[in-house]
Amino acid sequence: MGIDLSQFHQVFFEESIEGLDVMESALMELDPSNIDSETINAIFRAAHSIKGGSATFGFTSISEFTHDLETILDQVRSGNREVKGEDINLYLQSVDCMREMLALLQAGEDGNTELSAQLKSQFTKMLNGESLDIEEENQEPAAVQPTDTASTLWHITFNPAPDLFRTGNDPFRIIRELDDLGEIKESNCQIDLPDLTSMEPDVCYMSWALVLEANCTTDDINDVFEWVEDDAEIHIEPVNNTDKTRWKIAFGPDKEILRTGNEPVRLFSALEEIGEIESVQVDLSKLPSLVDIEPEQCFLSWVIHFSSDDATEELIEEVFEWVVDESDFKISKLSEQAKEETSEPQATDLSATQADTVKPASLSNVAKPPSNVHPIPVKSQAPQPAASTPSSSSKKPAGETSSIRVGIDKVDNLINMVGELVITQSMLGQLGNDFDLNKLPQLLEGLSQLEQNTRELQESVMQIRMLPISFAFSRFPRMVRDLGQSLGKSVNLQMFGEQTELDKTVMEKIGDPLVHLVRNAVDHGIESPQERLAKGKSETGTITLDAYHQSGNVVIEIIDDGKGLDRDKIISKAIEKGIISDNEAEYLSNEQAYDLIFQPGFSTATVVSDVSGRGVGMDVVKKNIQSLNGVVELTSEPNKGSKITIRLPLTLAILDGQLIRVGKNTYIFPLVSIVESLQCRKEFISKVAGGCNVFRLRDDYVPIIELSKTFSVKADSEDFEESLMVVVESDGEKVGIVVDELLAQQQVVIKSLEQNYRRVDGISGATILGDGTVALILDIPGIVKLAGDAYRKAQQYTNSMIAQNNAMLTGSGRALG
Amino acid sequence: MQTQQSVSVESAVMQVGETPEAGKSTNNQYLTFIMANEEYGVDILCVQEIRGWESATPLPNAPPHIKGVINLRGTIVPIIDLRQCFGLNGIEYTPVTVVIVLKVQTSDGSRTMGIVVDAVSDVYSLSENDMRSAPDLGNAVNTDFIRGLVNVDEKMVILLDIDKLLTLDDIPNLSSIADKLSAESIN
Repeated sequence: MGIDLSQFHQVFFEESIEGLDVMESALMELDPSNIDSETINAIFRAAHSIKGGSATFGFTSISEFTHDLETILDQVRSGNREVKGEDINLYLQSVDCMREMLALLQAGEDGNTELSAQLKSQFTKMLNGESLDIEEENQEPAAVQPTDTASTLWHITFNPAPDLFRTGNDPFRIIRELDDLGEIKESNCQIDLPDLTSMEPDVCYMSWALVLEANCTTDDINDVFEWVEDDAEIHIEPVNNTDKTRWKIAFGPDKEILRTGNEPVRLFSALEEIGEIESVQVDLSKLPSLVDIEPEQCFLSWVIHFSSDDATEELIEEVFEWVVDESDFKISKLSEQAKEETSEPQATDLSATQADTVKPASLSNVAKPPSNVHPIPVKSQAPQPAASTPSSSSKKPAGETSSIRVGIDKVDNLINMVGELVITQSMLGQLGNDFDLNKLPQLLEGLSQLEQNTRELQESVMQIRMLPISFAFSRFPRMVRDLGQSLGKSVNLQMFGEQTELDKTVMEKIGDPLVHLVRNAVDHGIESPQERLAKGKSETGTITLDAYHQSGNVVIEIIDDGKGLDRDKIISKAIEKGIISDNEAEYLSNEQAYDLIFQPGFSTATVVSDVSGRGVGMDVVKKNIQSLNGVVELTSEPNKGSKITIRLPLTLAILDGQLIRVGKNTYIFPLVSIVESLQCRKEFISKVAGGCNVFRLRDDYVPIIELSKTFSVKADSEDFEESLMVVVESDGEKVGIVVDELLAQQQVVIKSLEQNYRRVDGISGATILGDGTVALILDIPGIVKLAGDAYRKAQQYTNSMIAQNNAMLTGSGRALG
Repeated sequence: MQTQQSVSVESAVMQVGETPEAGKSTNNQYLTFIMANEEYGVDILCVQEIRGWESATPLPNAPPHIKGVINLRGTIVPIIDLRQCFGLNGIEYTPVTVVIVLKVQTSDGSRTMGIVVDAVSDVYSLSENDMRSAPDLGNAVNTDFIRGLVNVDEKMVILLDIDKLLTLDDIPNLSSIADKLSAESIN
């Protein structure tokens, strides 16, 4: 062809994966009892374009697989097939399967998998057996001859008269029409050409033998041939193979088999005696070059499709009894997959081109020509290692490139902005050419316009990285459904705010924590239907995913109406794990207790289930969210459910910062983490255990961190007691950080320190200020950690003191009462 | 005087840029600079630019030889004081103090870093064969950064290993600082 198709592979993969997403979400929406034609069309279209694309690029494994699925979907679309609940499962499975196949192909491997073969056989089963029932239900009995409905396979011979073309009839149109009825599984064209000298261009020398698969009546097919009935020999016959058992026999004898006196031909003729050989494929791939051939050695292996009325596996095995030890021998029953994938063009498959389909008649004289069953060449499912392995292993996995699909309106917007910017620039340029002081107002106006352009441009560029959160949410309907099924729970998933936009980098990183949380909600949160009924709740649990913007943050909530967290269980587990002591446990507030599940190595699952409890815990979730500068909170009420709230910055590239000064250095606090700023009044400061300073903030005590000491820089004064304190929240704990001065608040562009240097503890990145100098962005949890465990210990001590105080107070209150 | 030198070096850099093949043969070109009266050389292909000193933003708890980070046209670039790296006495920085910005390809992308030196000196074309390995000076001097010694017109030039310079790993363990802090607060 001259065009290297491989350059389009990446696009194909991306589009196919998108198509699969579409299929999946549409399938989730599909209501078996009331099929919406729009939805089923969407599913069909997606399957169709994946099939088309994969066929174009020679990914036969996918195109063959999709082909059957498409046929079934087409039947659903045209109303010839009902959709049952379990069918949707099968379709979803095939979506998974295609994903897997795509991934394999992307890695440069053959896309065929065990699952795909299994599903394929399911499809064929549906196409044959099950469609029958529906046919019978749907058809009006009077109009249909029983033989017609008994089969979906038709054997049609079409032998047009030589002058068919002269009557204006086009056989190809007829064949196309047949294809519309169903699907032409096989077409054999016989060409009976005369001598070159006597050939006439307008005479038809061709005749066809077709195998059509369609849910139609003889009349339907006759209709197609209506116009040519008189000009052709037409024979339409339903293929009835339902009472036959079909077998696939893979027979790969050892080289030495001929020397033991076992002739494969003899075996085949023995096989013919107990049934009928439909087709034989010969694998020539092991054949050495001509000079190396030993006449007494066998280099061939065969895949035989065999059908019989009464042959049993034992009977077949008996035929091969003598050679089983000297060959790779495998029998598989195809009875349930009455026929398999058929004649797709096998352009790319190396093994397929080497495997010749040999008609049984040419192999053995004893073979009778097939009578009522038409031989259907079956593409071998058995891997042919010698031929296919080298070709696949030589390919290198294609490198994954990350790309982003952007709405065209966003790009248009951007282009507009740039246009504006260019105009402003040329205006300013003109001003500068001969500038005198009179033009100062113009210059100022131009500059302010420039400022506005720049800001808008920045916003539009950021917009490009923004994606609706439905990208992260879309996997959940499926996940919740599957999980619910596997756990025997009935769960309803509600999603809100799917259009909330989020930076792509954040989106990529939030996916896994969300999956974990949703999984937890299904597994630990929602109770079993019986339990729910016993509690007087509705049988079906509800999980709600909600996303919305709130003051420059994206908030994601995962709410379940399940059993809530079990405080006692958590506490006993925490004591067992040594996270807290018995003493501490008594004084924990509910929030503090629930917070314990974010501790490493903590799992409340008493039984390790299929789904969770394998040790990857909430601590990882929390760490991931924190690495995005996000916060996670948890509230829970027994028997009412739990709610997890995740707050994330809109983007990782820009952050709202509070500039502060310590000595000569400017630092930036992420504005999100700041709770308040206040004067560090002496009377509110006390020392706990002689070391750590705590500040009394209303009825709370917060530990004080002196940034100058933590960072070893010189502050304005040694005595911090009259400086400013910024109260920040880290890990749900408040910390006061002492600074010299609060400067402006501004948006800062985050630059990486790691790119050229390394991670610095207590610093999450750097930014460039208006004057071109670099300022460091503070990493609050890092600073808290830096400031030492001593503070934390002291705080825990304070907490327990307070708690003890409270306990004593209530105790004394009780005593008084 | 130092500025004059740096100008001549820049023109030399230009020449190299025009005829890249010249440096690709067995002879590599080295940019040399002076520090405490000794001449040091770095592979000229790693030199991105030479600029004057501007104040850097100090990094918290960084070792003394890391002067901080500067903004190099939007990229954050750390600056190393090579004198302190080598245990020489620090000198006062002035506007004519030279910062050589080096760029090296590493396994995880390219890294850029600036080194502060006293003055740039010359560009030499040197052969690998003329290079002697650095003598073992015991623990007195950190020779990790030294690729070898070479003689040019009876002067010794110390060729530096840029990769080693850029992947300095001798930053004191920060956890020890935290320990120290907590120890302080406990006392």
